[in-house]
Amino acid sequence: MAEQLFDDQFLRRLEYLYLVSRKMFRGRLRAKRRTRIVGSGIEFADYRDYVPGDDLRYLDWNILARMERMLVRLFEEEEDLSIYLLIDCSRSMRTAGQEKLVYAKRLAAALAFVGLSNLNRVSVIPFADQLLDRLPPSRGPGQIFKVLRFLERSHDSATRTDLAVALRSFVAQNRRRGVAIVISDFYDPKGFEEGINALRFQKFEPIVCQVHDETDLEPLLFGDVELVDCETGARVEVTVTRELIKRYREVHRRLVSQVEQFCRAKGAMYFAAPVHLPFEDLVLAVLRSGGFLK
Amino acid sequence: MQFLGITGSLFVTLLAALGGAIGLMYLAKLRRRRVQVPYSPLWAQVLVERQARSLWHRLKRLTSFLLHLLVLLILLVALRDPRPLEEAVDGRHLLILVDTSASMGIRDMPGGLDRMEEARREALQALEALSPRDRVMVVRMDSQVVPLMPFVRPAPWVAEQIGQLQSSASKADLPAALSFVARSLAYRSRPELLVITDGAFPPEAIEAAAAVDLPGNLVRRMVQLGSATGNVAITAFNVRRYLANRLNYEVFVQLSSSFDVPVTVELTLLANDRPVHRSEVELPAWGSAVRTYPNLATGGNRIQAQVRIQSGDAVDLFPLDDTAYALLPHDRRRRVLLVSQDNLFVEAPLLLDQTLEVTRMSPVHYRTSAQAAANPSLDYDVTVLAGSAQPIPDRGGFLFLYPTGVHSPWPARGEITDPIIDRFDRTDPLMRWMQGFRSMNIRRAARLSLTEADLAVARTIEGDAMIVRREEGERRLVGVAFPIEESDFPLRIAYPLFILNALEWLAGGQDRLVESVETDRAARVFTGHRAAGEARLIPPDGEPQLLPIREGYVTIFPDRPGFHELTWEEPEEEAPAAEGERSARSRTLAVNFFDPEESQIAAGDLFRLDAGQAEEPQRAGALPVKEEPRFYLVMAALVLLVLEWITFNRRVTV
Repeated sequence: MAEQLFDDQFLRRLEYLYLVSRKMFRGRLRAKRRTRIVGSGIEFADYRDYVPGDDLRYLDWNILARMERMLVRLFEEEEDLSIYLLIDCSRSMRTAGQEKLVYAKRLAAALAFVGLSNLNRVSVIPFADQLLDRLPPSRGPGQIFKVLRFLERSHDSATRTDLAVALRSFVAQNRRRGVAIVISDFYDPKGFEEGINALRFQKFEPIVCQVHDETDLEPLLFGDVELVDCETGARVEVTVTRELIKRYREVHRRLVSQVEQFCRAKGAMYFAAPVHLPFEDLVLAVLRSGGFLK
Repeated sequence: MQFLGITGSLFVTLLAALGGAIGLMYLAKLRRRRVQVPYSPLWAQVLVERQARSLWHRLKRLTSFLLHLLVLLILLVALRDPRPLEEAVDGRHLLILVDTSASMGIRDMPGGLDRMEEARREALQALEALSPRDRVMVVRMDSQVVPLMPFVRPAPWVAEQIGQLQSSASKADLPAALSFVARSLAYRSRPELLVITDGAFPPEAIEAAAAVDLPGNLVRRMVQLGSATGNVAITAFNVRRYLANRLNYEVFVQLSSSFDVPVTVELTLLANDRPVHRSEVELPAWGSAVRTYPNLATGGNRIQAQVRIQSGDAVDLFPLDDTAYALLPHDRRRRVLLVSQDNLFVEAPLLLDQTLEVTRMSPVHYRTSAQAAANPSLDYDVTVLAGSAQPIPDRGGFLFLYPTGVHSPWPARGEITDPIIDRFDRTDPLMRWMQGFRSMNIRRAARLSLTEADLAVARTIEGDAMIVRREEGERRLVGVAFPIEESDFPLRIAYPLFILNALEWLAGGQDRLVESVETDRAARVFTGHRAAGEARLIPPDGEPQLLPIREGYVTIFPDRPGFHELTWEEPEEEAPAAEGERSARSRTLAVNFFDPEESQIAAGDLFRLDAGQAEEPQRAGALPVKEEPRFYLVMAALVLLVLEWITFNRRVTV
């Protein structure tokens, strides 16, 4: 899969994304975001009362002299943005020639490249019913090949999807807040809401990319068949007709719509990611939305 | 309803076995295919909304099973070959008589077909209409009546035999064919006769055919083909060398026309495939013309005459009789040994023929040579012995002029004075072109003693032979009983003619005219030796044919016009024959199709085979074809299968 995943053409398309992202963020602070915590920055932010243990170097002596009140000066600390790329590697992502998983990995690679190029900290975490692996946060454009090598690993040991368990584990293991991009088909029998909420409640900024391919929308089935769920093994006997296919499309559209509406309602960004859509278009859409890189 | 196919018990057995098999396959089919999907809850939601295993669906499955059983039933019934009861199909004996005469090769049928192709199509159609219990025999009718098979069950190989039928270069013998039909169908059950012909028979043949006593219960059908009327034919063609000038030759051609209007034709003569003469000939309507072309001198001995219509309003559709073939005898030199004591009367006629190679020898020298070594005559075609007779070998030709002495083949019993010849055989080869010996003065003659092998060609009034010839084994003798210099014979025109005739006959050459062979007639060719063997006849464009040699003769029966090559091996035990025609190991034969009746190609009027009981004759394409219920049953089974596939089995799988 390595050759197919990140070939020369893919790398050329990454270069293009890099150039486009540079153009979009020209004139802004370069890959930096500020936090209102005491830090080593130089931009004054606020005062607060002195408590024992505070560094006396930040004590405002002028105010103490005039008003006999001990106040400590707060500065905005310059902080790197942490980008977490959460990739669903369950079995449902690997059906029909693994098109969805390949697409998800390419999308993750592209987003990671843009993030690294803008001096952010990028981490990649494959998951299914739990976290499968972890690429520690990397920084700087030179780390892109490390990311690509990590993505080239096959994470096919997992079967089921459990967004809630996996994302709860993620927030427990990563105390540093940041943008959490979840790339998945959201085929979770237990539902997707709990997982996304786990991110939101722990101050992560979730960005949802729902991947689906042609056979998800238009299954090539006809006649009497026994359908077997690739993750759960559940079986359903069905006589597939045109009418039934039409109804299936309706139900699938409903699922997609539910995910989208939930994200919008909760302030999370949502992107539909059909595999036939060029991933660079999707990356640009994410960049233009403003939620990525801030 | 009657069934001609498989038996009832086999039908039931097959129905049970195959029906059971279909049942098993149906049960196997009930098991659904397994397909993996990424997220089955979506399908579960769909099914909640719609009950998949509806009553219609279950009914549809049962319908599929029943349709399969119905298809099986229909196919088995088709195998039983059902027929209407009124159709008499049990054990018919059909004799298909196909006219393969020369006129069947005419290309005047719709679609550019010739009559023979149409006849084959009609015969195949009749064959297809037969049931397995019928028997069929196909008979070819031209100058010979040839059955291609005995009565057999209809089978593909019979169709192959019909497909190989070709028109021959001969005329059809309808009476003989119908006689054969009468004998073949005499004791057969349900006899039927189908005659496929163009009906181009002379009235007397139809009359003779009507007189044939055909079986009373014979069902007769006749299909008549063809429509063309006009034709131009070469009905006679000969070529011969001149007696005096053997280098030149003369051609005789007879042309006939069966067009209703006068036509102009171009006649081309070819020698060894090269045109040597071309002329136009006017032919009256339904008339003929005779032409001779004298003094042709081009080299080559294979002469052809080709005729082509010039008139724009006439088309000749029958090419078989547009070309005729003839052979010129080879102009070879003959060696003559003249044993004479300067007898100029004998020498003079020998100078007339430029092809003679004359060697002179005195009687004394001849006798000495004959005693010392081999007889000098062995090296010559003909030996002329003037005066005293000499010893001669047992091979060759010998002309004795007034033979006397102990070596004379005809011992003299005395002498006749002033004999008068008043009887001679004008048809004898020695007497060709001669008017006779009337008032010929002869001073004296020997009274020759004849044997049974002798033939007296000319006699006196008392019956004494004056000119005699004998043929014994490979030796030929001619004797003249009187000394020619003591008669006025040398002063007459008949004298050189006689000498040349005698030399011609003695040399074995009757080859100023090489007669051609006609198609559909047997001809015997002498090989020159008596041993049995095998000869090979190579037609102009066909497969070589091996023929037996019996008593030195090969009997050939050529079936197409053109130059045929006959070759054979000389037997080793026999001494090689003298150089000449008789010793050749191959011989070319000119074969012609000369048949004025067959050249009148107009399709005959419709006629009845038997005025009493025949069905009406039918034109091509009118032959009734039996219905085949099996065909419709198989088609119905196919329709049901397609229906079943569309309603149930159609699917596009992942």
